Amino acid sequence: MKSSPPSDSEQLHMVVRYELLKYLRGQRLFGIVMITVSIAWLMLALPPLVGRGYSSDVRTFPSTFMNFVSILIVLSATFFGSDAIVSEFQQRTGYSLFPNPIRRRIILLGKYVASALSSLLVVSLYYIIIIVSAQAIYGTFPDELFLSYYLAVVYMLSILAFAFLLSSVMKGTTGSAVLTFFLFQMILPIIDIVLNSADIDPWFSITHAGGIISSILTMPPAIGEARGPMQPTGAAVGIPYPLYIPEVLSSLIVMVNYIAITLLAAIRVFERREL
Amino acid sequence: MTDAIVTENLGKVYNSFVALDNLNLRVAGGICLGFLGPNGAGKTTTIKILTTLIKPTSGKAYLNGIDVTSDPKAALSDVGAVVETPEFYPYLTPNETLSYLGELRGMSSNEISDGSRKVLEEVKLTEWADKSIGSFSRGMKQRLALAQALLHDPAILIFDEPTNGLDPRGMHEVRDIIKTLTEKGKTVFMSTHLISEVQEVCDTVALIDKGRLIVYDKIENLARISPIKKIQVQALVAPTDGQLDRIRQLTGVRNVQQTSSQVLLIEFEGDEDSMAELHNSLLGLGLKMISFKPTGTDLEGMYLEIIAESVR
Repeated sequence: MKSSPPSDSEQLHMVVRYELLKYLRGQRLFGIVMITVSIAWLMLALPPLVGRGYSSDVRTFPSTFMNFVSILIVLSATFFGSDAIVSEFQQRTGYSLFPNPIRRRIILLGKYVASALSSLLVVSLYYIIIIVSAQAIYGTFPDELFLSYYLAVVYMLSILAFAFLLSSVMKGTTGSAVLTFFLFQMILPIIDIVLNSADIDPWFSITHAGGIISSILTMPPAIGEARGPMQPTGAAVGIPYPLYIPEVLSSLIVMVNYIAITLLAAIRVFERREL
Repeated sequence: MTDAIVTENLGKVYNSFVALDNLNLRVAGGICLGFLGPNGAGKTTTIKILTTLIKPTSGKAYLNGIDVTSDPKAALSDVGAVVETPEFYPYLTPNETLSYLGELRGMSSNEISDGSRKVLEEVKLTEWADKSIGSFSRGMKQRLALAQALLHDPAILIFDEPTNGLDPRGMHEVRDIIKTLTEKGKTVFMSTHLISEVQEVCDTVALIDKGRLIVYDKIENLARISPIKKIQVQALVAPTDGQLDRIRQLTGVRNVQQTSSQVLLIEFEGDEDSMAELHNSLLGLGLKMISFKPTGTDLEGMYLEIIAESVR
């Protein structure tokens, strides 16, 4: 039985399929979907339960949901990306996978596509809940939600790519998961605040760029209109230091660059890493 | 004809530790090579380079004439390997694992299903074929590792301690599988600590130490270099001290060890006629023998001697 190995694209498809099976069997996908639905349900159920009701403005309704989008993306990266590569080394599964006629970059890209598809499902589900709820409560929803969704998808791809880089470098799965979560949820946002307060525009920061997902909806129209290329606007929203608001195009450019650079770096590290 | 496995001045340095030092090997197709050496000699490093788990610091390695570093995908296309005790995705079953690896190797679904049934039967995992690997013991994983290496019927098989983690029955079964592979004309490259395993399964031996090749020859040639044979003798009654002294003085006897009260291990130098003479002499000394069993060449003794020389 002498068969030639399939093409890289066919092998990529195979890796994606078996990675998705991992997320399904390991109940990760189910777990994060449950978290998403629970959070969305709480956000919808709590205001009427505590007697506050929903905002009278349809435009501000989705803004209450926006804070959780970036957390959801970081959670997805932690669930699906943080151990994708490091586990092959730590759990020794690489001993059965790597001595096969498949390039390592295809293994990494296959895993990346699978984790992106799973994360896309989760983020899409969350936005669908917001849109359906707004439609049910107000009979309409703001168009900016679509732009926010597209930006959230690009942000998700960039955070995942970064998580894959961490996973390629780290020695253990736990360390990789903890670092992924805290880096994007705490460390980088703190750096953004520090840079802002020092009157330095953190345009290059991935978490700062990711702020566009919610700022596209949460900023008042006046500031939205004044939103130029990296203008300090802190005073306008009552913050005692300059607040640099990300702008759509520059945020997109930053996010796309993060995807390209961190994914290429992850491939490079993974191809050189020894088992 | 291209040699199945070739290493040319292969070197690997970890920080300042030289794991491989210009290792040159040429393994012809269709032979079973026992790759022997003490701990840290460079056996696993060589196998890891051949299976692209690590990259060499210098030199080249080829499988079927293809450089494993520059074109790993092509080099590994006709190779099956078991490196250390591999782990498998715990959420998959053996059938699913074989399906995944078979697909990656370009096998059709029919080939995968027929091949999986066959190899799982060979490694005695049929009844576990659809159970989750997460609950498997180390020995079962080792059997599965062997199954995935055989699945696509490759021309080259690379085994790193293939009987590791197996019980004696499992070890025996794996050795039988390897012997069958050699009979089918496959190239088997097998590293092991067990010299008896090499003697039983392989026809050629490569002995390395400190990353360098010390000996590379057919086992029968090594037997000529060291004509010492080991004979196990079991007596009905424990031999007396006097009998032992007289056995030591017999022609061709180099050493006598009493491994238990009634069992002797005699190191003997001589041909088959001399061995028959020894048999008669032992009876003549009044030893009530139950069995007289030649156990082969003293490869272990030779191995220890060569390693000792290498250290000096």
